[in-house]
Amino acid sequence: MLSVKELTKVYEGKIAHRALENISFEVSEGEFIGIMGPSGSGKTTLLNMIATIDRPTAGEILIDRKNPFELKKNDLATFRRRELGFVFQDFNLLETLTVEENIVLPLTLERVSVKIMKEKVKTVAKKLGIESILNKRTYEVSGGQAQRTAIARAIIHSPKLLLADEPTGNLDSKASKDVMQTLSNINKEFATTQLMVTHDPQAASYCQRVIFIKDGALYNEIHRGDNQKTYYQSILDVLSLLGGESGDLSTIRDL
Amino acid sequence: MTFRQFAIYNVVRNKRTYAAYFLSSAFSVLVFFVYALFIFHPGVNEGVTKQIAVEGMKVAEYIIYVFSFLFILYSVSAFLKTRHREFGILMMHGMSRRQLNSLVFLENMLIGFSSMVVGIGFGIVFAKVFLMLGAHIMNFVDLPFYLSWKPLILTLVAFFVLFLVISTMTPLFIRSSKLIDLLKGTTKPRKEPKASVIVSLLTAAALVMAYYLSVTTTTNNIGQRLLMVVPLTIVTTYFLFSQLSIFVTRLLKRKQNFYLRSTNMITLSDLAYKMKDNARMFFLVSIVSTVAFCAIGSFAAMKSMDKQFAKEFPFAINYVSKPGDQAFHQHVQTIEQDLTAKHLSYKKVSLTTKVQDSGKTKIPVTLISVRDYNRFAQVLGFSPLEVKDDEAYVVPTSIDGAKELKKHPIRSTTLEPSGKALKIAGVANLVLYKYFDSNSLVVSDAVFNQLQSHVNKDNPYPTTPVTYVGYKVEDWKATDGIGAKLSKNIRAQFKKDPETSLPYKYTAAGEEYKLSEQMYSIMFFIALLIGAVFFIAAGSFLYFRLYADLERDQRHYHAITKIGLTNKELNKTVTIQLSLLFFVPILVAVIHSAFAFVALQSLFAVSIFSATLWVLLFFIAVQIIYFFLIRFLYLKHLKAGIV
Repeated sequence: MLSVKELTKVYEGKIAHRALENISFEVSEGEFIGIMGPSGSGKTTLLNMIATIDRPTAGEILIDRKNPFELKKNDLATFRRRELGFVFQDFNLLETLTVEENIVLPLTLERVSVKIMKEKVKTVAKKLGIESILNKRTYEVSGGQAQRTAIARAIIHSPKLLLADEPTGNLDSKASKDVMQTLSNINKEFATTQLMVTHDPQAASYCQRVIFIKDGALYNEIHRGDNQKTYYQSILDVLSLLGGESGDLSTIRDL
Repeated sequence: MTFRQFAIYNVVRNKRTYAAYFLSSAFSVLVFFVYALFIFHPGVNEGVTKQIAVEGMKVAEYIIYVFSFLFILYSVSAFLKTRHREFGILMMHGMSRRQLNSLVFLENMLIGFSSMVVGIGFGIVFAKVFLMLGAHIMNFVDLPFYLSWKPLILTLVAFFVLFLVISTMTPLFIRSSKLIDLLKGTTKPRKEPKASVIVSLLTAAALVMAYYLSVTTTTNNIGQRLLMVVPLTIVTTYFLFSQLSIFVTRLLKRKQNFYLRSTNMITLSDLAYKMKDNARMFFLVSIVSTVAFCAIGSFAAMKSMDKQFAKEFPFAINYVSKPGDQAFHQHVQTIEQDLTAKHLSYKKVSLTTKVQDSGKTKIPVTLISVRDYNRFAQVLGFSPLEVKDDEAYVVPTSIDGAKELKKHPIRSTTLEPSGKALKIAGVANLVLYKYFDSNSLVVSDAVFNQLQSHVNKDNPYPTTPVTYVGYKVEDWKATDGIGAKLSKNIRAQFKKDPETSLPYKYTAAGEEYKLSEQMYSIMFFIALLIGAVFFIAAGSFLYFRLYADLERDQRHYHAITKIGLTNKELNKTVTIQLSLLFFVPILVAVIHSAFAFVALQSLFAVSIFSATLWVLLFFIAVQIIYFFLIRFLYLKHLKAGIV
C-alpha cells in the first residue's frame, strides 16, 4: 500500500541539516502503524512528506504504487482530496464553519451532491458519537469532540491512507483514549491504512506495529502481540533505550 | 454545504473582521453615486458656476475611483495575509489552486456586491436629502429631486468593474504556494525590522528639509515646491515610522527600571511583536489623513475671503467707459437708480485717463492726474500725494505687484511719443488696476494737461484712455444685482462673440463676491466628500489592524489574566496600545497638514489660520470619538471568555 524507499531530507541553510537519512519501510493494506522517536528525530518531517506537503531531497514514496510527487499541481490536489485523510495535533478545524460543515469540507471541494453529504455525515457522526454537536460551532466543543470532528473530516471521503500527527497531543487522558479507540475502530471496520506519529506510548499501543526513528534513521520496530499490556511495556523499553530525555516520555498511565 | 455556501459562510460568519472595510467601501460607492447624481442632474447644466461644479465633480469621481481601487486592493490583500493557515488546511484537504482562487474570488465579489447595493441603496433613499444639502452648501437656489438611470448605471458599472478586476487579481497575492509555509501561517512571529543609524539620520534630515521647504514657500514657487515636498514627505513618513518605532521601543526596553515596571513589559513587548505591521499602518493612516485634512482645510479657508475681497474692491461699483461708449450717461443713470431703489447710500467719484507708451518697453502706460488721485484718496481714506513736474508714482497692478515693487523699485521712465522723462518717486496706494488695461502712473496736473493721448494701433489689444466711475458703498455685499442689466449685456456679448467686447466694462463687488463664494463653496463641497472618503478609509485601516490580531490577542490576554492581570491593568494596557494606534498617525498627519497650510498660506493675502485650525480640531474630535467606540468594542471582544 505505502512504500518508502531510501528517503532523505536535507534542510538547506547556513548549516545543512539532515532531517532524514535513507529511511525505507513498507506498510501493507489495512495496517495501523505508529511512528515514535525523541524530539527532533524526524518523525513529523517523515509524515509531512508522506502527506505530500513537503518534498523529499532524495528517495521516493509510493502510495498505491503511485509516486505523488510526479503529479502535476492540480492532480496532486485531487490526489490528496481523494486518497488521503489528515488529523492534526491542533485539530485545524475552520472556525467559520459548524462541526457538520467542517466534516463535509472534502466533499464540498469534490462538489458532491448535498444529499450524499447528508447521508455520509449521518453515518460518520453516528460512528464517532458526535451527532449531538453537529450544529455547533468549533469553539463551542471540547478538545476530544474537536479531534473526533477532525477524524470524521479525515475519513468522510473514505481515503486509502489516514495520516495523524500527534492526534492526542492536545488532549487529556480520557479524550485520548476515546480518540485512539475511534481510530482503532475505523481501522478495523473500514480497513483504512493508518499512519500515526506520536509521543504517547499509550496511544502507540493501539497500533499494530510501531516504527522507532532516531536522528533521522530507522532504529527499531516492534509488532503487537495479543496482549496490549506487554506491548505497551515493550514500547516503553525501546523508548528508554532510545535514550531521549526523560521528558520526552509522556506520563505513564495505567491501562 | 455546497462550494458557494462555503464561500458565503466564510464572509457572513466573519462579518466582524470585514465590517469596517465593508462600510468604507459602501461609503465610497455612496459618495461616487452622490456626485453622479449632481453630474446628471438637469438643473446643474444651467449657468457658469454650475457647469464648473459639474467639471469639479467629474474630477472628484476619478479621484474617488482611483482611491477606492487602491484602498480595496490593499484591504483585500491584507485580509488574505491573515488567512494563510486557513488556506493551508484547505489545500491539505485537497483544494486545488483553482478552487482556492475561485473561493477568494467569490468571497470578494460577495463583499463588493453587497457594499455596492448598500451604498447605492442608501444613495437612492437619501437622494433628496443629498441634493438639498449639496445645493445648500454650494449656494444653488434649489435642485428638485431628480433620479434618472444614468447615475445608477454609472455607479453600478464602475464599481462592478472595479470589484471584478480586484477579485480577479487578488488570488495572485497568495504568493507562497508551499503548503508547509501556508500551514505555519501567520502564527510565526514576525521579524523586527532592522533599524539603521544612517537611515534614521537621513530621515530626520529629510523631514526637517521638507518642513523648511514648505515654510519658505512663496506664491511663485509653490508648484515647484509641491512637487518636491510631497514625495519627500511621503517617503520620510514611511521611514519615520519604520525606524522611529524600533528606535523608541528599543530605548524603552533597555531602560530596565521602566520596562520591568507593572504592565509596561506587556504593552511594549506586544508593540514590538506587531512592529512591522504597525509601522506600515501608521504610514498609510498618516498619509491618507493628511490628504483629507489638507483638502478640506484649504477649501474651508478659501470660503472666508471677505477681507481679501474688501481689499480688492475699494469701490463696490465700477464702471469703465471707453471711447465709443454712446450710452455713458444712460448707464450711469441706471446704476444710480438701482442703488436708490435698494436704499444704498454711496459716494461717487470719477476720473478720465490718458495713455502714452513706455519708451523702454513700448508697452502702453495709463496716466492719472494727481488731482484726480487725491480726490479718490480722500474718499478711500488714503493720504494725498504731492507730485512734482518731473516725478511720477506707480500704481501697482495687484496686491502682490505692490510687494514686488517695494522690493525691486523702478527708478525712471520716459514717455513716448511726448519724450517726457519722469523719475519714479514711489508706489501709490490706489487699487484700481482691474479697470485699466495697463500699468498706471500718477503725474502732476501740469504734465497731465500738457500730454496728449496716443493710442498705439499696432498693439493687438490697444489701450485707450477711459473714464472711470466708482461708487463706494459701505454695505458692498448688498450690491449684487445692481446694474444687472449691464452685466447681462456684457455676458450676452461674450457669448455672441468673445473676440470683440462692448465699449464699457462693469463690475459690482457684490455679484463678484457671490460668484467667487459659490465657486469656493462648490470646491469645498467636493473636497469635503473626498476628504470624508479618505478619513473613513483611514479608520478602516485602523479597525483592520486591530481585528486581524484579535484572535491572537484574545489568547494572549487570556493567558496573562490567568497569571493575575487585574481588569484595570488589562484596560490600561489596551488603552495605551490603542491610543498609540489611533493618535500617533493622526498627530503626524496634523503636523504635516499644519506645514502644508503654511505653504498654502502663501497663496492668500488673508490668514487661513483659524479656518484650518477648526478643521483640524474637528477631525481630532471625530478621531477621539472613534477611539472610544473602538476601545469599548475591542475590550468587550477581548474579555469575552475571560472569567
